[in-house]
Amino acid sequence: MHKGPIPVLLFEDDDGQALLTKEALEADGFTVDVCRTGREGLDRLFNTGYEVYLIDMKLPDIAGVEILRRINTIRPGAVCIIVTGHGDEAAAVEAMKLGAYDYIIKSPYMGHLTALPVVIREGLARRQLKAEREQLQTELWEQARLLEERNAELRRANEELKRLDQLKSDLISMVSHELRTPLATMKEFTSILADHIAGPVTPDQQQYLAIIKANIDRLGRIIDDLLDMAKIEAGRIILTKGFVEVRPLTEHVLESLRPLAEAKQVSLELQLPQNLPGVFADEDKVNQILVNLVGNAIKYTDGPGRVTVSAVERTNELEFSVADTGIGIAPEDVPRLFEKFQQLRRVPGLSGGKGAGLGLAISKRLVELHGGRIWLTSTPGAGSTFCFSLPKYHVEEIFHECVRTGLEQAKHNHESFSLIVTSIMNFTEIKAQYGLEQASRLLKEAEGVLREAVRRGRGDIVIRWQQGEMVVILAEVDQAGAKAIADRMRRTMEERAFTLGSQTVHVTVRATSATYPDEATTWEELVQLSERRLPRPDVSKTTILIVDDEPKIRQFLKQALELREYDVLAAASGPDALEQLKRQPVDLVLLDLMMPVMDGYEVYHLLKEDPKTRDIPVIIVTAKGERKDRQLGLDNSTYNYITKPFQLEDLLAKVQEVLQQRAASR
Amino acid sequence: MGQRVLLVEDEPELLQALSVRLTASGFACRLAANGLEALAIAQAWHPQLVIADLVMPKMDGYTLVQRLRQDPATAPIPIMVLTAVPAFARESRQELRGVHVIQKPFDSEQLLLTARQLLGQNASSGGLSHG
Repeated sequence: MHKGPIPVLLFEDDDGQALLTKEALEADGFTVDVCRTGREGLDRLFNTGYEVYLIDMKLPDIAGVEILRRINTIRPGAVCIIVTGHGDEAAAVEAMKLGAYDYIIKSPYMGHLTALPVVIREGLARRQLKAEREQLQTELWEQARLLEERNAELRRANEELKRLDQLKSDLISMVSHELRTPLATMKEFTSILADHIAGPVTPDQQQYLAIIKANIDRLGRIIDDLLDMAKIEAGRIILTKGFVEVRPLTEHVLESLRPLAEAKQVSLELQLPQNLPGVFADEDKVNQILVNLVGNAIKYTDGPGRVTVSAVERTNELEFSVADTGIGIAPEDVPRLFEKFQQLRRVPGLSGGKGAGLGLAISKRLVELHGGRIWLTSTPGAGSTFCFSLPKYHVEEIFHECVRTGLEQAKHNHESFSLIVTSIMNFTEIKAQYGLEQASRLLKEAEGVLREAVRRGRGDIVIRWQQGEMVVILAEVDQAGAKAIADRMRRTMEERAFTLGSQTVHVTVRATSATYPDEATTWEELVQLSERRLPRPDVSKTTILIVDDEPKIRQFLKQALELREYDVLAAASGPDALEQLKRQPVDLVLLDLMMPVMDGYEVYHLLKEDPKTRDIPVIIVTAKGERKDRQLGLDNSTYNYITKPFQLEDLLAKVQEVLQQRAASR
Repeated sequence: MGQRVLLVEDEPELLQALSVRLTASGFACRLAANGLEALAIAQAWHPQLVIADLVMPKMDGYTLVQRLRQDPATAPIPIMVLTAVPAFARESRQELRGVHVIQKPFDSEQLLLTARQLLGQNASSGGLSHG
């Protein structure tokens, strides 16, 4: 802002007016120069700049509007205020359109002079605001320009990255091609010689040819490893995950490496517990990891020795280990072991150990791509154990993933998408009569039957729970198509005679379907709809009360149980639970132990004291280590526990078990 | 006279090796150094099996497969592709649908086994009518 008196140029031909105006303004912090003609004022304008111009519209020589125009040309942004006589408002308004800041109408008694300083100051303030706004605008433009520049740079960089990525891909492809082609020629001519096609071969020559062939094969494997590593680093490995059964896979790996091991007098052993769950993984990649680890173990074990492959179940994953009785690894070598191009320390007389040194690095990355870990323990001279973990196969998660991705795909392609749920209604009886193992076999066989029936459509089959329910996920099938397929499946299954042991078993099947977009739009709706349509007489009308202070757990349990056709009530605290139980009887209570206000023990005691609630079975949901049976004063026959974290399937099985016990005791 | 196999490979030495191997195993072979030559021979000679490389000058294996499939006279001929192109680089190629691909370097036993299988299939589906 202007400091000191504000310079004003006044265009006024009336001396009296001019003097009074000058006096009034100079008393109020302005200095005023007066010019009596337009010409005089404009001359001054060239020499001196003023903050403010007061212009009388009626000057003898030049029209006020013209003066305004010239001031705006010579001193752009000047604050011009029109001073005009009564009746000239129209001209004043015109002047405003031309850029005047304001106008003031002369009053006969000079009253307008008191208002003038205010009008001027307002004008100055407006100019200041305008200047600030313009400054801001300029800065914004500048920023927008910079942003645009950055964007352009990013676009260029992105395109460059894409180009480099493609180049890398092409390079990998090219190198692979160029290296493998000559190998193919060498290998073929070597085998032509070895197969006596080009004439007789002496035993010595035969041996040399075998050596050449073995080395060609080794070179081929090194190229494969280098390519694998390059692919992993270029992010070009895409896992095709699915259900992988551990036993056949590990057996196959050991079988393929047995000749190598037997040649060194190393025995191969497999130790797998019964009922080991499957893993959710890319079978080829798991195979590759195991071949690498077992191959290494054999390589670094001198006969007589032993390599043992085993697997154990952990909470969310399966832990595999490959243990050998070999030379072991020096502690200082362990940290570098999973790095690229690392060779284990050369041991004199060891004939193996020649490769690109990539096997472990590749294995590590493949394990990590699955969300698992890899590590080892080793005692030099006594052997090494390499371990890795892979996520367990969770039927529910995979099922949801299948439905979700399938539906997304369908939405994207504007196609229909159907779920067909088939359920063996007498599965529980079959399970009771023939045992779980036999019943599972039946389920597997039924899956094969369904797979055959689905073959023509694009679809997948997921077996859920252990209750004989199978869900068929179908893309591109509309409502009518889904109903027809469901019907066909039901007939196929019922007409089929399954054999368990020596007996023939007939199954009763219900099949329902739900279709996007006809009946549901989200995957959750699809699942719920198709399941709700399945009759499930044995669990209907059963009410369960969930008592847990954690809203997420309440929500999760409620959804999971409702999906199973239970009626579910939820209480956030002990008092809340007791209140709800007064109003409505329930068949089962799921009770969290650790809750504020009133903990699970107290709730339990209160339930057991009241004759109305005494007989309601309770499942206590507790974290590990929270169990304090004695505090509850309970014996084994009356309480039921489930320990957090639990598998949903385990909880549901427990719920069913407790409900069945209750039904039986009535 | 053995079954007619057309070998297509731009590496002359590998072409020679394939020819020696297959001739020794009782097949009648014709050789082509690229897709264009192969197409001409296929139309005139009616091979019972085509074994082709992918990366070749003048006409590559992808195009060759496509052209053989388009012509009703050559469409039923089974095709085996022998290639050093890694799997990830050819996965997206539609042309190779229904074509048996063997990765180089290959085992002779595997090559012969696959060749015999493909020829057997062809015989049973009536593709020998040209003989």
